[in-house]
Amino acid sequence: MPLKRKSLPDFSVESTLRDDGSLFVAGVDEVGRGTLAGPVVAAAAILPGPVPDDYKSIIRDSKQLSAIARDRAYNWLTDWCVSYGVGSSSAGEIDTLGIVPATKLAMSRAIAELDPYADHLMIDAVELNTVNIPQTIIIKGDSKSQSIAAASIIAKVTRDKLMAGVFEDQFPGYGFADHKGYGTKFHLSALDSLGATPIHRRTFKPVQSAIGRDSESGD
Amino acid sequence: MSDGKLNLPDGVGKAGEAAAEYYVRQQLGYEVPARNFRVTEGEIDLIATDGYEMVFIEVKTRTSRSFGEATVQVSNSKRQHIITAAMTYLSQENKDNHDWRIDVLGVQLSRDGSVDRIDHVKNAVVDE
Repeated sequence: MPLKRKSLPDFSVESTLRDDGSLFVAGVDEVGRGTLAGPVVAAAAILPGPVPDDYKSIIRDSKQLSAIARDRAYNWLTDWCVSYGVGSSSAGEIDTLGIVPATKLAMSRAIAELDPYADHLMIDAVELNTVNIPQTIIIKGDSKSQSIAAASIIAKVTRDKLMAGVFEDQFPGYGFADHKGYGTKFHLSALDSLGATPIHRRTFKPVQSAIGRDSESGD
Repeated sequence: MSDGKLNLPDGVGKAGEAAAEYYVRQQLGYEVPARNFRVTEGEIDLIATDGYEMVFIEVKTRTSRSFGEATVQVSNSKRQHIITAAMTYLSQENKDNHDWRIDVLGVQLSRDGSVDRIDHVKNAVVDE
């Protein structure tokens, strides 16, 4: 066996679902659950079929791709796929609902953007009980299914652009363009000196401590 | 280590790596959390951080004048080894969320071990 990173995702589950009569199978994934600031972003993607050989190596778990390969994958995918949708939940929604329900909300928003609408969903780890579409849950789905990997790439690139563009411009000084909201030393010290912005998740402990509020409830 | 002048205790490769690390820290201002990171399948000469982005650096040291394009060429098997090691590092260090890239630093040493030239090629190794 050739030496590889994790093995590449494939289209096998999608093919089975298609054989069973599903026309539009969508992969669903999210990014930004663990950041201290910014939205959690989800994407859903319907692929026309198995990824052609030339692109197989870049349609994989977005974390396994360099930034440059990920951008290339995104550009190709958004052109090639039948349809994709992106949805997000804001920091305020995350604070109000909790991160897991907010993530599911972002996913359902992404799915609602699809056109044609999906008749089967493949999701990494979570089940969407609020969405009335048959679902296949796959643990580590982004490294097993090309459709989920595609969704992971679209979600990641979209969120990064948002953090480095709009939110960096709106809230300079926090380093959003660099860390995209993750809890780096720089970010924490900026929180300390500049205070929290409306896109900070106030229920997340490091944000609470940095802005000097004590936490009653855990997250 | 003085600027430009290097000893050659463990040969040219080591001298090149030392010069590369000096360059990465002083000229590029990156931090270097690890060097000579090894897994069974491969090794990464230098691991640096460019802000939130992790930079895996392959150091190519030459003493001859025939430098040019060959500097940044990395064989396909070497490429796979570097990527495998990089993925291992990211997961071991819980840095899965970080952006990453693979750069090559071409270090050209003169006969006395001083640095003639350093070429830095970002994204020299692309994972596809």
